[in-house]
Amino acid sequence: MTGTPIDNLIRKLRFEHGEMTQQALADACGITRQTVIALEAGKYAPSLELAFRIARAFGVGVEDVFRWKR
Amino acid sequence: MSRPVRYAILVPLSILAFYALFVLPGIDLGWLGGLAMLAGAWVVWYLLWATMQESVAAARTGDAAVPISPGEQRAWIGLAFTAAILVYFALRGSQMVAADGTMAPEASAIGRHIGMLVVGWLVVMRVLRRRWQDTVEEDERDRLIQARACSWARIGLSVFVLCIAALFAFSPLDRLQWARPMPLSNLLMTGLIASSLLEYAVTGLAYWRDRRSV
Repeated sequence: MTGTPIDNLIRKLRFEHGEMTQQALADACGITRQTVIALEAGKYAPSLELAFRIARAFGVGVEDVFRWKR
Repeated sequence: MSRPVRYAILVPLSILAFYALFVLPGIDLGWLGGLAMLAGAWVVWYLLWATMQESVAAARTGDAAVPISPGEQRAWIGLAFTAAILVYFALRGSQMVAADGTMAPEASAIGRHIGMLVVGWLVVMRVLRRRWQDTVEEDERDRLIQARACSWARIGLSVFVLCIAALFAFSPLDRLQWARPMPLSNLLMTGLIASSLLEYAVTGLAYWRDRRSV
């Protein structure tokens, strides 16, 4: 999958949340760890539903996790 | 023994075991020889399977390593079994055709062997599903990769059907002597298996490319 125009702060947020592991985030969102890795690497743009689930896992809003690359 | 060395030994041995068991024309080894060959083949396949599982387990530990997801494992296993079925079919398919173009008596034995491969595939997937019981088997990204691979397979199958249609439409009748029931049946089956192979290959490569580029 090629890069996406959507940037994210998932890695930063994971470390701010007690160094949450990729697997823990994957389990919290109902996705595979490989998808978390692809998201962090900017190789995959999540659906709106998954974006909300990730934001909820960190207890923040969607725009605090994802932003449009300028 | 390191894993690459084990792969270097076990992969050719597995192919040899497959060839000896399924492709080699019926050499009579006696029941003891036949049993030894069967047991040897299964031991080699098991060792290859165990080595692959070791690789998967090693990739699963730690955040630094990129894991092999269930979707990717499913794709590679599907690719291996589909390739084995296609190779077997390509090597033995002609023996299924009798002189008059109908089904030869060997066809049922060849069909049984293909059935054995499919059963083996189902057993492997069943074992893996049990192992994945507590993990997420697929998510939206897996479904996206599968959808792309499906469209590749559909394109492949469409090209194959168009080629057959063109072949029949534009070939003179005397060049279509071969087009009797069993050869046609084999040709259609080959196209179907090849499209499935393409789907698994595209799926596996998509996962592999993503893992490599992280």
